[in-house]
Amino acid sequence: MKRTMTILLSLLLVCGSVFAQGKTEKPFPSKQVTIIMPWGLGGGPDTIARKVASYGEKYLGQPVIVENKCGGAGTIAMDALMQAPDDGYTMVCSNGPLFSLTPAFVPVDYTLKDITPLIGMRIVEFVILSNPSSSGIHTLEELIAAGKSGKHIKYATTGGPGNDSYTMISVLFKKLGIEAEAVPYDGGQDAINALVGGHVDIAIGSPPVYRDYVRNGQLACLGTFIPEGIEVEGIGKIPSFKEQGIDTEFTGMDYFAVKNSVPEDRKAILTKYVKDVYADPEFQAFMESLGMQAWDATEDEIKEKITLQTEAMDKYIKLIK
Amino acid sequence: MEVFMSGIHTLMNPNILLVIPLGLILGIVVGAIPGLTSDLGIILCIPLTYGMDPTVAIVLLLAIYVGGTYGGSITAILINTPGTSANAATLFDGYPMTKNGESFKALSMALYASTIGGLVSAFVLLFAAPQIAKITLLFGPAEYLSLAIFGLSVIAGVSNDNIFKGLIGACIGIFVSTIGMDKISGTMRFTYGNLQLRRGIDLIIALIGLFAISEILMKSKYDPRTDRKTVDSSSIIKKEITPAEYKRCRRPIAIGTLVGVIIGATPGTGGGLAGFISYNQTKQTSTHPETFGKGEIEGVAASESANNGACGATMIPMLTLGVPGDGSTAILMGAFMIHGMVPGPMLFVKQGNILYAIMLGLIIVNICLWFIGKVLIRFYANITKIPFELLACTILTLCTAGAYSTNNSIYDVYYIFVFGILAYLMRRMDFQLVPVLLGIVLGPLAETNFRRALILSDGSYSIFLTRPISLAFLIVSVASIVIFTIRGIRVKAKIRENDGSVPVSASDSGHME
Repeated sequence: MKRTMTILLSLLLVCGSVFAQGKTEKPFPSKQVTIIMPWGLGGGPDTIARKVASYGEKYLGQPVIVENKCGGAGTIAMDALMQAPDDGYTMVCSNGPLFSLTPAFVPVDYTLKDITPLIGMRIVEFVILSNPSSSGIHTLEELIAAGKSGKHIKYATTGGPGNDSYTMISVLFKKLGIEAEAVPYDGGQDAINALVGGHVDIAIGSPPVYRDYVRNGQLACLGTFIPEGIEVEGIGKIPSFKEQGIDTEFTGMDYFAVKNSVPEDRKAILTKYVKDVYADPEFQAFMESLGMQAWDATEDEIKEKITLQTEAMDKYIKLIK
Repeated sequence: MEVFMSGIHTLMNPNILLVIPLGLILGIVVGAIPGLTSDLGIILCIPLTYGMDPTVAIVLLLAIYVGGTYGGSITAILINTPGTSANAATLFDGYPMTKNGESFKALSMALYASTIGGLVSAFVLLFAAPQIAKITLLFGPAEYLSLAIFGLSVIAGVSNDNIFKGLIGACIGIFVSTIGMDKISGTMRFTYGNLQLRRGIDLIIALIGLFAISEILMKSKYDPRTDRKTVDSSSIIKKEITPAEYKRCRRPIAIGTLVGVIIGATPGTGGGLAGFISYNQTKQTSTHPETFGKGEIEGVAASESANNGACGATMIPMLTLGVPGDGSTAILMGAFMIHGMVPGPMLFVKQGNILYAIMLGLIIVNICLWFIGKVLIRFYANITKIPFELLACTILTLCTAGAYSTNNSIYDVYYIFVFGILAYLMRRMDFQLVPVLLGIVLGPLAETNFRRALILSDGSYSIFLTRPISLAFLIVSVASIVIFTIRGIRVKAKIRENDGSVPVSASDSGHME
């Protein structure tokens, strides 16, 4: 009897420890991970995030889904992130202007301290373009000359005030000292379309939206806000405004982030997952087809860029407001 | 010709024949459930296509798109709620036909018209895309405003017994569309500090509330036992479309297809607007406009040929300019990019063979739609036989789930009930709901383009009259309103002479009985 009791007791103990282990050491992630997307379906960040998500099973062991929560200049999505639990199952695709620009126009309930950028996604390279056949403007000099001669320039932006492209192109015209007026459109494609159709004189865009039009000669690049200029396949070097003597610069960026309160080990697992995806040759080929490169920046690099951008934006907003 | 042949060669993939029926059925199902759109179907399937050959993948997604655009007509006809916004105009006559016991006939006509519209549109895409894309580039803000006004002129047609109530409805719709962030100035409007309202009200949310919820509320006050007697369920299946009816529908289908292709090819518009304009044109040029809105099969033909006619055409600006024509094409564009094809001016040059394969695939998709639809119609025509108590619960569940899934937000579920109650009260006061819908659809298009045009013209209104396309739309809009008003007065006078009774509104999709 005593022997039976001992066996039973030890069995119970073994079972108990197994259960206890199961409960405390459930590996992360043990269920689906969600990436909140503040912008629309089919856009640049959405397309890349969905591709990254498709590797969820392969590199994270769990499915990853993208959930679009658009509107309110990205604040709806940021609000959803802030309300999500701290368990690491909710990521967000964020950008710089959500911190450097949006708060100047919309009341927000978040600060840069509330999030941890995990890893970069892409650099957004804004380029200013003209339609030479409708406006006769081929270069920055010709734009300045046209403006000084009294032509009232109309430029297409990819959104209204509070939008990064709106701010940057407006700042450019202020710095050039040219009288010009913004015509806000619903997105990059609409803005380029308005330019190709000859409805506006100048527009702002990022590849791949304008690339083909420049290659077949319908549009001309006047310059980029990336301080060191950019090299675009099939177009060649596009000089920066800084290089052309105009003191404006902007480096747009998208990155993956989580709430700051998420445990460090989980942040590391999620970061490694995205890194593994970036290293996948198939993913690299995909990015190449879009004419882009994955930007694997670290948390510190991203935060530094956002801080610099916020300082610059303060100055720029004062200039155009 | 060489790329064309190589396109046919690329299409010779046995998997194509497997994915087309799959995509169509999935599309029809998601399209038919209010709140779930073909957009959702496409999104759900994109991850499944990663490993597929690009042609097969895109054809699958196109099948969902086409199936979804047609599928929305099923619920529009059967339960007075369009499954997607593209099918909104199908309500006008589709639901009255169901009430007349002709649901099978209405569903068959919707399928027939959708197939023809879709097929023609696919052929236009195949043969004329680059040329049409050049024309759509001529559309600037002034042209879009005039187009929106042309769309809004439908209000005169759908509320001809009381234009003032129609205008009030349209104003309510436009007000709803202004909630949220203003696109031009970036300021928040009518949000009262509420974060959730910053996003604005989604069209589909307003639609579910306006039509589905209010319909359930309206019907709930009737005794379902007596209500059921009004439709003889045994006759539903039997009523086939007669050869004479097919003949009568030729003209509406031709108008619808043409309107669908033109509107579809214009970026930023879409199937919903095409349906309205086509319905209005058909009704205006008809010899018997008074029968529209009471269960006129021509009305269903006009609307359904137009929205599917827009399907292939919305791909024109997307493929040639990289500008998506509507939500679904925006997602399709993402799918193209995932499969290594960047829509834009160079796509035809660089990946012509895959592109031609896809366009030919779209033609096959539309042909298959006919056969699959034929098989399925008999099943869903029976929905009207289900007791109302059961149907109402099911609709309510589907609508709530659909509303929630639109943005994964519980607030959208609240909104559908707010709209439902508002619409119920409006219907009790004899207001039409369609002008509200038109206001929500066309309000933003009109407003933003009005402001853009004035920025471009330095505040001069002459921009709307000096640009030829804009002027043409404005003239047609004015003519349309004048003709309609005169016609409405004449019809009323005629009916008064004949029997002394006041005619029922020409479009009483907002009325129950």
